[in-house]
Amino acid sequence: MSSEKEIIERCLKNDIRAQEFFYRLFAGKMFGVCLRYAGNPMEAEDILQEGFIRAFKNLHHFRFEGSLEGWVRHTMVNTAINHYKKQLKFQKEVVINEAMAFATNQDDGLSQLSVGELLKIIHELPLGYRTVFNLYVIEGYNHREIGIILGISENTSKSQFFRARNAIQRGMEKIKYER
Amino acid sequence: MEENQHLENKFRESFNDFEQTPPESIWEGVRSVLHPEPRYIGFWARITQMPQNSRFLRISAGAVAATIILFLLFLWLAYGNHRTIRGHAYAGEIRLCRGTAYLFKVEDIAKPFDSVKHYRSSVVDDNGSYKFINVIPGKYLLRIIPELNSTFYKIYEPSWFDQHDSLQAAHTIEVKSDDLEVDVHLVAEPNRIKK
Repeated sequence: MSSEKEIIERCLKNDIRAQEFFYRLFAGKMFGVCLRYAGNPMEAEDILQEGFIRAFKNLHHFRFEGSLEGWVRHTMVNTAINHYKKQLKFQKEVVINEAMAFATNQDDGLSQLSVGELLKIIHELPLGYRTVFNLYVIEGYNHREIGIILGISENTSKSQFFRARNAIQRGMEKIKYER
Repeated sequence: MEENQHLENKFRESFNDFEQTPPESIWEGVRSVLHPEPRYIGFWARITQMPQNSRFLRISAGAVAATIILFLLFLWLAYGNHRTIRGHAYAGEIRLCRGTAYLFKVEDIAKPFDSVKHYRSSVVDDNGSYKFINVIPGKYLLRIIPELNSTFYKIYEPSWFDQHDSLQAAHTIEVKSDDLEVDVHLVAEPNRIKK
């Protein structure tokens, strides 16, 4: 496959070989994205599969204005958000209006943590915390945008974010203690 | 605040190029949605896609094998041990032109002439040939009757094998394991043949 354009054109013609090439090109990175949003690897696999199906079905919307990887990633994050919304129906989220301050008197153990350990901490976060944290820290959305995306208030996004940070801090301490 | 920023940066850096190979089943799932299998699966496709220890497959294979064996057994019983009786009918030295050959089965060998039953009939052609196929083993009597339009009618009598004009005098033909070649010589009408 010579270029992104050729891959996309062949994918739009439902060429299975091009679709497989497309999938294998981005599957690793996108699984990484999904693992951050999911509560466990199996949930991440569900999001990844659904995300790729969605990407293939909406590929005709791609206008070659940005990178293809960025577009696929955006699709994957949207899928994860939809997944969050579906799950929210079955979970009662803890909402607090008052932002909690992050404890600052901790030792810096961050540099010693592996990606696997960070993922473990993320997976242990409640669904809402995890989603808000990912959108804010990794995707770079602000709380107002997160509120619109997830259908929650800006203050709820903030409070969930601070709670997520606290939970992450506790998770880090736990890992350091176990070492 | 600096600590907070540090935490966020750490996450950003860690997950910036984070990759993990997903299980192969994900692609299979995506592919099955993009290219669904046709709903109808043919009989042979079903068979070939079945696991080899499938109960249905074992039962089907057994049923097919049993059917084939029964069919072959039926064929053998129906035709396997059947034989052919063929031959010519003669009027004097020449072959009889047209007539009918009758084959009678002797049901009771102890009473051959009291248990005779018509078994089959066959055309005697212009060359005097006749043939009975698929004849089951047993004892038979054979009778040839010249056709009404035949030149030999009224010259030669309807006759039994091998050259007799009465049932009591006829010779039986025994069909065993081989085909038989049986010629029948018609009996001449006493007053019609000049000696």
